[in-house]
Amino acid sequence: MQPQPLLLRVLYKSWSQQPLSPEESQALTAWLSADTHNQQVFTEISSGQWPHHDLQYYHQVSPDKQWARVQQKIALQQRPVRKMRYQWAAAAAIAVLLVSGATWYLIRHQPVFTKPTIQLADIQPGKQGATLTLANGEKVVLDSLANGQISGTNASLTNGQLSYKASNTGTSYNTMTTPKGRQFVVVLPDGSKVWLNAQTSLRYPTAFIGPERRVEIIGEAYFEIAPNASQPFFVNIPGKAEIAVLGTSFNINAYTDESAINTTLIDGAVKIQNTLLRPGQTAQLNTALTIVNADVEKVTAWKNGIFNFEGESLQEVMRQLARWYDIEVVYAPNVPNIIFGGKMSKDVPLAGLLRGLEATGVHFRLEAGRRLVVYK
Amino acid sequence: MTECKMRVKLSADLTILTSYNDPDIILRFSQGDEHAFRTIFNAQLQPLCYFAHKILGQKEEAEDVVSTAFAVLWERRAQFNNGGAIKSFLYVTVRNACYDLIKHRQVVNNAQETITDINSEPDITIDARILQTELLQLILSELKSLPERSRQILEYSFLEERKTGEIAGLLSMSEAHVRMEKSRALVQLRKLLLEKQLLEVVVILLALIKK
Repeated sequence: MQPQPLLLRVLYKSWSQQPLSPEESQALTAWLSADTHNQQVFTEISSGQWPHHDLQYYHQVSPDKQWARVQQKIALQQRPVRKMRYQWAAAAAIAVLLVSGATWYLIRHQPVFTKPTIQLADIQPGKQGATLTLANGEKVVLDSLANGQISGTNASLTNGQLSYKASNTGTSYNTMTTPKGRQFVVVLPDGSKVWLNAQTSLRYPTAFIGPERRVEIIGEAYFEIAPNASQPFFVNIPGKAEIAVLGTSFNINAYTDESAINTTLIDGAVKIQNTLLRPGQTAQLNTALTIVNADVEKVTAWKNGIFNFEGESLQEVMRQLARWYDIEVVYAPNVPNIIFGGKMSKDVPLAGLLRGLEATGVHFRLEAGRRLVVYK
Repeated sequence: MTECKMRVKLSADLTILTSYNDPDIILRFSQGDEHAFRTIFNAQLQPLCYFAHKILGQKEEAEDVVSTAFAVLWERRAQFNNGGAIKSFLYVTVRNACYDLIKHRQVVNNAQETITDINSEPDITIDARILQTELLQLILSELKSLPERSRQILEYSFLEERKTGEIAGLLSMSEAHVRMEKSRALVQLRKLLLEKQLLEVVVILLALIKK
């Protein structure tokens, strides 16, 4: 390969249409023949038309907008999760819920003159945000709040993450709720960190006092529990399950529209209905408990900003999209059964993502009320 | 993102021009100073977005890939002790993420026998694209150091693609005069670049191993 400063000079001279020295010509010829694609770039640069058009995009990139995006990603970023002294963990879970009955839905009865009020192209991906409900019922929307202490709490917001300070004051309960299209990270007063997926609610005390730490979850969350053998940690799925933990990382998927409660252990150990779960296993609880090997990367993809559709049915995929893009999904009759593979970024607008999915033979159209129709 | 077969290792002997006004900026960055991070971000954002956009042909994806690279950079800030390493890291991270995306598009397409023409053909001229991106930065930075009038004429004609007649109107000059000034400005720009021998000092990466 040619030394780069020489090549850059050659390209510069080609751009400004200056004659090349014999050495430079030789370098250029070698570079062009090294890879056919180099030819393409060379033609572009030396065409006399470059960089005129390209500069419009170059100058259009907004540093402020992209900076906000980077900050969001940093807040959501996974910390390396290998901690040393996990001793045990126990757990339980329960289950069942019914798959939503939406699998076939007649759409031909819709009014003829209904027009979409928004275009598919307008549907943006979800972002970071949540609503915090204080003990007195007051609600604080955290989506656009500036960094700082949340008044009336021992919690402060830093770059999209809410952290509680340990405190000995009386216990009151706060509830963090993410609507569709939002996810959020909260650090509890004991230092445990919880990532909330969209449409999830986490209820927790503002101070962990007494022999146990207890929180309640509906929806999906990833937990990194700070180890404390003298104060075991319990996750309640109200009315359905209780998972006891002591210092571990795990993901719970307990959406009411999914058919099972899935608890996936990343690190530590969990016991569910007297069955020991090892790292890398998922406990699927519906009418019975099944232990399966987990694809940990897939289970935790959501918190890293990725959809992982590997092996999922159309309906499973669409339920995730409904939560993230805040849409309702309905199916025309005869939609084929498709099993998906692959990963996609959660940052793209819905239209871009659907374009990828359409390659599998299904089609989509948007109707009024953010309703997405899936048809063959 | 996942590891990818096309991962590329950087060789150790990279020389890169990274000019920040404050020589401590890298040190402060590595120690967690957000302002330093922002300075680095501001300097590298547009070139990286341009680079990714050239490869992917898609603005949203390009900006997603670049913002992820910066987030990862911040997470690993403690490892960096010079600007060149930061720049290489960003280029390589963006480059690999672009490969992953292109690969993914191909998987989606191939799985279905029917190749959709919606996504534009992926650009795999990635190494050349790094050169092109660096060349563009070079041109832009040198443009700034031209005398006001010359700079304006070149910016109107390059950046805004205005016709000679239009520029003449804007600057109240005759077309012939604009043409003359333009070619003089170009000569000046070339001279600046060569005199400073920036082309020798400047650059870059790319002892990137070929695929």
